[in-house]
Formats: sequence, C-alpha cells, structure tokens
Amino acid sequence: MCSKAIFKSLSRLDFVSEVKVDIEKSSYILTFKSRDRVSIEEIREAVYDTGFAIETMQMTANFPNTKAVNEELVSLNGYQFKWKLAGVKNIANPQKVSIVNKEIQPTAGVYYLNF
Amino acid sequence: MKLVNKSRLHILVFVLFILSSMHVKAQELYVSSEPASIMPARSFLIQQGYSKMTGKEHFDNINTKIEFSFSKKWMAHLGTNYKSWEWYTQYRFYSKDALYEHLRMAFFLKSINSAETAIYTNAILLDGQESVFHSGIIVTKLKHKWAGSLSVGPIIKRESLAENGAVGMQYSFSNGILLYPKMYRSYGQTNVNLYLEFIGQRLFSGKANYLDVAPAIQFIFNSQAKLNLSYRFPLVNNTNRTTYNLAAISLDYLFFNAFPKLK
Repeated sequence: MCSKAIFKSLSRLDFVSEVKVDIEKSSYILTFKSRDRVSIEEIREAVYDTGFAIETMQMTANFPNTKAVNEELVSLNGYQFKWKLAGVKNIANPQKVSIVNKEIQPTAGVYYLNF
Repeated sequence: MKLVNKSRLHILVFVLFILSSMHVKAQELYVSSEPASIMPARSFLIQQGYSKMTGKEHFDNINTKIEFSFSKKWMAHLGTNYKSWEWYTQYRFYSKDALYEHLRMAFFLKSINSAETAIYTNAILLDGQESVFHSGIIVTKLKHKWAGSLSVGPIIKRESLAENGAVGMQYSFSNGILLYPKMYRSYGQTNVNLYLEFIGQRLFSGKANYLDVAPAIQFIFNSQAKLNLSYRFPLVNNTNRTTYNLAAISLDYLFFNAFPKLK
C-alpha cells in the first residue's frame, strides 16, 4: 500500500513524464519531460514527505569529460557534483552514477557521485 | 587559441533515476492491534465493520473508524460503535529502515468513552462497554515476509469496584505473514496476509487476567482497499467477562495525499 503512496507522490512531480515501479525490489525509474528541468530535491522530498527513505539514487547522464578524478568538481544542470572514487575512472557515454550523500542531502551544496 | 565557454559545454541529460526506497509491507497491517507507524504521511483511511460479541451475553456492533496521518511520525484515529466512541493517537519516535526489514517504535494514547459501565466485570473492557484510558509503547519489526509487533502499557478503567482495582497492564503480541503474491508485479495484484495475534491483560490487583488469541485473514485490493476477517477467543480466561468471543469483518479504504503539507 505504501509503495503505491510513493509511486503517486513521484508521479505528481511536474517534471516527471513516467514512473516505472518494480514493487518487489522497491525501485522506481523516473523518466523526465525535459532535460532542462530536473530537481533532485523535489524527488527526494516526494519520497521523504510520504514517510519513507531512499536507499540509493542513481542517474544516467552525459558527462562532458571522459575521465572521473576523485574530488573533481563537475557542474551539470545547475548542480555541483564531485566524484567520490578510488583513483581515476573512464566515464562512459552516458554513464550511470549513484549519489552517495547520506539521505540524499547535499554537503555544502555538493552532491557526491560514484560508479 | 580557441576559448571555450565551459558552462555551455556541460549539458546534462538525466535520462533515468532509479530509487530504491525502504517502505512498509502489508504483513504488518494487523487486524486486532495497531502496529507502530504504518500510514503514509498525509493519508486518510475510512473503515466500516460489523462485529458479533458472544459468550454469556451477545451483542452486535456496527463499527466506523477514520484514521489520518498528519506527518510520517504522527497519526490519529476516531472510532465509534454508535454506543461509545474512541480517539487514538500515536507518535513514532524510532525508525530504522533497510531494504527488506525495519524496526519501528511508537508511543500511543487511547480514550474510549462510553455511556455504559462494566463496574462488576473484573477485567478492563476495550470494546466500548465502559470508559477506559490506555497508553503504551509499540515495537514493530518487519523482516522479509514476516512482521511481529509487541505492545505494552497501562490501562485504566474509569469506574470500578475498589476490590478489583481500576488499573492493569495490557499487552499484545502480533504476527503477520504475507501469503500471496509470491512476487509483486503490479499494484493491481490481490495481497493475502495471515495474522495470529495474542492479546492479554492483567489487573495490578491480581484479581483477574486473560490471554486471548485472534487469528485473522486479510485481502488487499489494488493496494488501497482491505477486507479483514478475524475471530478472537480466550486461551486463558481468569475473569468474569460476559462476552469473550469476537467475530469481526471490516472493509477499509486508504486515500493518499489527502492533506496539504504542514509547513
């Protein structure tokens, strides 16, 4: 019943065009209407406001560089990201990454990524 | 030398977000007790039921209840059997979530207000036959397809005989298991849960105690409507209760996003 509550909460976000859910795995795949309007905070609040928590948030994105260096800053869509990796990794195009910040809260305005 | 505007180079496309979220599973939606904190925030539930109490006497009741959650930690409900009414509130003070298990703890307060009294009964009745205050702590643990919940706290009979005493301890131990579906594929699948709940009481005076058991079966339709069927009867009955068996059926419906966010 509560999986459906989260599904409805995410579906109501104005920048989300579709939510696909795997009830068994508790995972929700969001597709966006436009590349220009995506809000990590609103997605986070849609889940936490309903009374639940996010274990993992992943995104697939096109990054400008081909290499990811630990602690290097990347600006994308108005967000500040930093890599949290052991050493240097090659970035695929597109690349699936995870936001590792605790409870998906930014640290000094920065979201940390790894893959 | 070609100068490049770095900010224009960094165009992001978020194609997919995959979230895994920890959430409540249906096998903790107990029929004869309240688990710790299971309603989604800002949701509203309405329940309509019919119950038959039997023993030395028998009564039929029509029961209506509404439940609402103000936030993820705080919920309340109002109920009536049209002879008495009750209010209940619960506050969750602890929660530890993981993907297939969680542990929650809550504090609750309940007041049953009845025009009747059961002054000669040496047990404290929670079924509307007398006015009662009840409070306590609930601990609910869910692991895979099983959910267990323990509730303990004092209970006060507002009108009693001095020899029996007005105060006792109420406790319950509930178990739920998810029978069906084996694999969740859609919200449209019917969910079947089986429950076995134990409800007990002991007066501080030592004059009476009981331990009842309440098996139940529950069907959940479209992840929002529930049909509950239960039968409660005593295993140990050191009381002079005139009704001690309870057969109940109820139907309820949950509305999501029923209230605006409290700022």
